[in-house]
Amino acid sequence: MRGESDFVAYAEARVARLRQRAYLLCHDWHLAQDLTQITLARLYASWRRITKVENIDAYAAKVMVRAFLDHKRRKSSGEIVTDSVPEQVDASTPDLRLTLLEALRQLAPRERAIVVLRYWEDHSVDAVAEMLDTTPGVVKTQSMRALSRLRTLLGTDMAALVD
Amino acid sequence: MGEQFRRLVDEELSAQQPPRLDGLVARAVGDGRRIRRGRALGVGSVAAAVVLVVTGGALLLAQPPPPHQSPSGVVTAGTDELPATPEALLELLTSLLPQGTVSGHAGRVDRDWIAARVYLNQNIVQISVARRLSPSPPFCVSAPPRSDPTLGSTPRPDASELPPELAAPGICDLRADGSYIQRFEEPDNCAERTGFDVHRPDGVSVRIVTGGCPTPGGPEEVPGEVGLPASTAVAIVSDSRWAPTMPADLVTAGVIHFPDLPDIPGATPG
Repeated sequence: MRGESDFVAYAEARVARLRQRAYLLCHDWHLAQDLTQITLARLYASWRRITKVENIDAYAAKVMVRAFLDHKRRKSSGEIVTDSVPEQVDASTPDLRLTLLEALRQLAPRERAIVVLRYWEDHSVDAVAEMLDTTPGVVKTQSMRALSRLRTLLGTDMAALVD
Repeated sequence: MGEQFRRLVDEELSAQQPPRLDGLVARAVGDGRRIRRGRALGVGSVAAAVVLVVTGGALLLAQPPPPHQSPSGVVTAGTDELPATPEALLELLTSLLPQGTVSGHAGRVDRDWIAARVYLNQNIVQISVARRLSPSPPFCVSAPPRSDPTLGSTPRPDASELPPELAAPGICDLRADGSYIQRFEEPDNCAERTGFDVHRPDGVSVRIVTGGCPTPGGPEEVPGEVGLPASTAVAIVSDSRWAPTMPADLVTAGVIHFPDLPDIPGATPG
C-alpha cells in the first residue's frame, strides 16, 4: 500500500480500534483521541517506509504505546496510580464488584500496556517486548505481576480469564 | 488464549460512550504533513500538533542572538517578569477568549517552545510561544514583506476582510507596528484549520491555531461553529504579553488556577 489514499483507507478502517486501545491505556477518551491522532500522524509521516514492514498494526501499536508511556513520563496526566489495594472487594456482590476496566486502570502504566497488548490484542511475549523495547523475560515478569494485581483487585480467577 | 478476557473487556468498552470520531483521520493527516515538513527542514521527531513551532525554534538557534538575549540564548526574566509557563499561557489565553464553554485545559513545555491548549465550545484553541528570541522572522523567507495597514491597525479585520493574498496559506505581511503576521491553513484538518504566526520586532514568535469541524450529522460541506473568528485569533496572538517571560502576576495566577495541568501529549522517537 502506498500513497495518501491507501493511508486514509487504512486509518479509517483502524481508527475505532486504535482509539479503544488508547482508551484502555489511558482511561480518558479525550486523551485517547489525542494518542490515536498522534499515532496516525506518525504513521502518515513515515507511511512509505512503514508499508515495507511486515505488520503495520504491530508498528502502530508500538508507536501508540510509546507515545502513551512517554506522555506518562513527561508529566502526570492527573490519573492516580496507586500501589495500595482498595478496600476488600466482595466479588460475589455484582453491584460492588470492580469492573475489569477499573481494575486495569489501577495497574501501573507499563503493566497496563503489557496486559492490553498480551491479553486483549493477543500479541506474543516477543512482540510485546519489541514494542516496549525490553526483553521477553521482563514482559513475562511484569505480566505475572499485573495478573496477580488484577486477581487481588477483582477477587476472581484471572487464570480462567487469560488462559 | 484470553478469549474470556477479551470478551469481558469488549463488553465493558461497548458500554462506554466515547466522543465522535469526526475528522480524527483528517487531523492526523494534517499533523503528519507538518511532521514531514519539519523533517524536510532537518528537524527531528517532535510533537505533531506543534511541529512548526519547533521548526521555528530550530531555525532561530542558527541565528546570532540579539543584544538583549542571554549568552545561552534563553531569555532571562526582568524584575517584574518570570519565565513563561503553560499555566501562565492558559491564564492569559482564557482571559482573552470570547464567552463560551472552555474545557480540556492542557499545556506543554519543551526545549524551544511553550504551549497551552483549550477547547472552546469543543473546538481547539492552541497558543504556542517560542522560548527563544528571533532577530528576524523565520517563516517569511519565501514572501517579501509588504506593508499592509489592514492587519497592523486596530480594529483588526474578520476573515472575510483579510486581503486575498493573506487568506492564502503561507503568506506573510508586515504590520504597522513592525511585526510580521502569517496566516496558514490546513484545509483537510478541520479541528486545526486556521492559524496565525506573529513575529514581533522584539524577537518574540507566537502561534495560534484553531478550527471548527462540520456539525455532526450535517452536510460535510457545511462548516460547524468555528472555534475562534479570525479577527479574535489575530487579536489574541497579537497580545504583547505573549513572550518567553511574562508578567509575574500572570505566572502566579496560572499556578493557582491550573494546578496539575495535564500535558499536551506528544510523539515519541521511533
